[in-house]
Amino acid sequence: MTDDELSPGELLRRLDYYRRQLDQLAGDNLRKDYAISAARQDIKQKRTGFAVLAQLQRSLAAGRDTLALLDTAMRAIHASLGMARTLVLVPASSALAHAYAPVRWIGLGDPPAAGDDPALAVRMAVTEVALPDGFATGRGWLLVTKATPVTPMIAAIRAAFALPYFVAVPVHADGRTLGVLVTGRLKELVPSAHPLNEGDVETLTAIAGLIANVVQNTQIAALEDALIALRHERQRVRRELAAARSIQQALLPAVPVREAGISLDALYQPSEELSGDFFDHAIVGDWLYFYVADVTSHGTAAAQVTYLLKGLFHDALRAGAPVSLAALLAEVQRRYATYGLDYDVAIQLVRVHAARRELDYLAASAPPAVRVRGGETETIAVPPSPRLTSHPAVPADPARWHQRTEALAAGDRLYFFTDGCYELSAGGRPFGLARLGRLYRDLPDDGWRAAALAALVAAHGGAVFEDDLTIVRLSVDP
Amino acid sequence: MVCLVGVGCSEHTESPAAAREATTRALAEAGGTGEPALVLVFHTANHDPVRFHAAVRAVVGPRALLVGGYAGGVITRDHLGHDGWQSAVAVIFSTTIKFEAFLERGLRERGEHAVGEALGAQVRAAIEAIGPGASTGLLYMYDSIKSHAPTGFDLNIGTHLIAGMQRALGAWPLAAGMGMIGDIQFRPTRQYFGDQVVDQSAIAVLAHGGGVRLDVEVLHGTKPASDYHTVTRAEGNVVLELDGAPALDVIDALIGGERRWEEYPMLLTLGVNKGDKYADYDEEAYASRLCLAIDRERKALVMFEPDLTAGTEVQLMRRDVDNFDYIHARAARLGARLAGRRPVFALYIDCLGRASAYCGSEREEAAVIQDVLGAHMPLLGLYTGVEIAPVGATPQQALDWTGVLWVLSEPAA
Repeated sequence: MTDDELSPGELLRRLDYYRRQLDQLAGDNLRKDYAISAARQDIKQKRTGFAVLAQLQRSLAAGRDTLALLDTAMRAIHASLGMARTLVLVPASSALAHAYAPVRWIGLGDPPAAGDDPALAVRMAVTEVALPDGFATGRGWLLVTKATPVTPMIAAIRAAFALPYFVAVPVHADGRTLGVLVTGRLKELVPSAHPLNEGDVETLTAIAGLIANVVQNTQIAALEDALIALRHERQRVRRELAAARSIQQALLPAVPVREAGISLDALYQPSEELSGDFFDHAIVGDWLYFYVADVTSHGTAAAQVTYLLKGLFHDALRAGAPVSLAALLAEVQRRYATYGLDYDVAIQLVRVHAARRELDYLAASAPPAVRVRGGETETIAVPPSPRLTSHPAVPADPARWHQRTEALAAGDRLYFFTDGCYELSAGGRPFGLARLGRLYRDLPDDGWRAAALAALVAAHGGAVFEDDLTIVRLSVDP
Repeated sequence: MVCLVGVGCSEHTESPAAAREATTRALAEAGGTGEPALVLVFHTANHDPVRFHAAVRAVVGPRALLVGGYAGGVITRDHLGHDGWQSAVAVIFSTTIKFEAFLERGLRERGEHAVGEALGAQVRAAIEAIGPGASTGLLYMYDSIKSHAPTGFDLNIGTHLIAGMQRALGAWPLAAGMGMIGDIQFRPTRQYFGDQVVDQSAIAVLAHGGGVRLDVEVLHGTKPASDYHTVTRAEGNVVLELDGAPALDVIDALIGGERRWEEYPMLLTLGVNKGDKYADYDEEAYASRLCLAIDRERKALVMFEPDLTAGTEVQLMRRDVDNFDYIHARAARLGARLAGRRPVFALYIDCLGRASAYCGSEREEAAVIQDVLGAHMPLLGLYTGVEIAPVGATPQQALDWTGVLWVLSEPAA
């Protein structure tokens, strides 16, 4: 049936039918268009979020101060997310609980000022807002839309920044909140200004996380720099100590020394690069002088004292053999006191007359020497004498020091040593003088130094000793 | 001397730096000497207008005619963006084409019609001074934001401004215009006129001399999708009833479904067919009207413009957001019209709602403009609130969700 054959009533009904169909199709199409638009806008929101993150990833360089990082992020957020106002808040020190104050802002004022409007700056300088407790621990966030119930806190934030709809997230690193990013809009208008949503919170949270990472990376970089500087300093100190150690080693006398059937040898084992122990010898007339010194403390300062002592002894002996060891030590004491140093020196001072097979011995606050004769060990007791000191009130009177004269026998082995040799820890206890005596007794003639050190290392459980070790051995030919 | 034009843009966030960058780029592209005859300056509401203006002035010199203000975003040959820190400057050097600018203030206090009438009187006087028959082209722009408060905003109505200008002008020169906005939040606008930073104003720039000609193309990108529905009650720009029923109820019956009323603003577009009601679709015969807001209490639609009066027949319009063939067709037609002439500058006045972020298109339609025009002439595009152009027999029509292409040309050498 053609249109011409339809009655006017039928035609009207048909027209009405097509009109309804057309409007229904229009509705369907527009609904789909709007749905597609909404979906694309969601995608665009995500893309924009990722783009902002990527932009910030490139621009937030480690090493910048935190406020500069927050400022950069604020500008990126503001420009890219189509926000009307964006601020950076920092924790405020005020009576208001969980208070935060604005330090950077964009879009505030009319026309919007980028932070250089003096009047706005004055107003912001006295503005503080409270934020939820979670902001202090980095777990909180705020999303305020038209649908959000207005609490006094939200009303205060809105009033402070004339910002009705906003997102706020904390930037938290190293257990503290560095700042808070606040951004928002003046209106909710679909589709131009969508109500803020969880997607915006996620974007800002990701940005906050990025800033926190950059801050932490900055701190790690600073620590690494400090560590590298420390390592360089340590290497420099090591080099200097190595040089000082070689100087100290060079100042030690060459051993063994042989003199008319008498020989002198030494084991010298500093606990650090530099030692407070020292030994030296000199031949003056018919006498072979030697001493074993132990400066209180060890290390660099003690080593300096050993250099001084070497000079003092040589100076004192330059005039010729003194009357006695006590006289020699008194002279050294007199000279040492002039330096006013805070270091005392325990010392064993010995002189040997090889031809007479005779030995003078003095122990100034030092352990007694040990003699090994005929397979037996014997301590050479000597009256106690005071150590060398720089205290000016201590008199340099030879009467204060007491020496002993001993006859030497063929095959005698005499050991002079510092306290580090028996005070070292061995199995949780001091190694001890008795055990040291037995060690001396059992030492071979050849390779005695290596054997002694090996025994002490074994007893101690390692080659790192608490104190310097020095053993000087005087041997009388059989 | 041929007309030399350059356009520069910047996304710098510091206003003086952005101004310097955009202006120096524009000057470099133009390659002119001395001070430009006209400087067009636009940027988003994120910038500080006073400092921006001062920085542009410092670069272009003290005498150049400087006009512009806020835009929701900018488009150039190789850049487009909106709602950020976009700024753009166009400089025009010519010794033959003359530019005169006119300012009328007080849109809020005096009303759009009065301001339009006063502005039209200034333009008419200038045209009369130039002499009859001289070729002219007019560009005008007004502050779209009448008031802005946290609770809402109110717009200056372009239709009233046009009516006022019409009353004073009588016959229009070929013209195009725009309602200026600085962002999609509708924050208060600032405008530049010479060395003044103003607001609530309407500004006109008249080009004349040197055989100048203005060509205008209107790009809608919408098509009718429904039957005709009649506005049966309206107050100003508020459509209260369609077909005798509350407007929101009618729209809801058509497209409601899961759509909430709050989603209609900036999405819902009504079209007015000013041509033959039952003829094939003719884009140029249509004026698109965009829904600005809803009045929930009165179940009404608040439109950008007040011309949907009782008795007006409207159709639901469907946006063609993924097919930009219509742009190519319009550009080709424009190209044909410009045959034998030298196009010197294209100004694209583009509704901010057409940006992909807001209309949901996969691609920016402004990018098509860049493609088809950018290679041939300097291009400055502005995202605006209202676009104004001739539509059918109507000499000037305020439009929504529309792109208006404004091309200045001079005789080929």
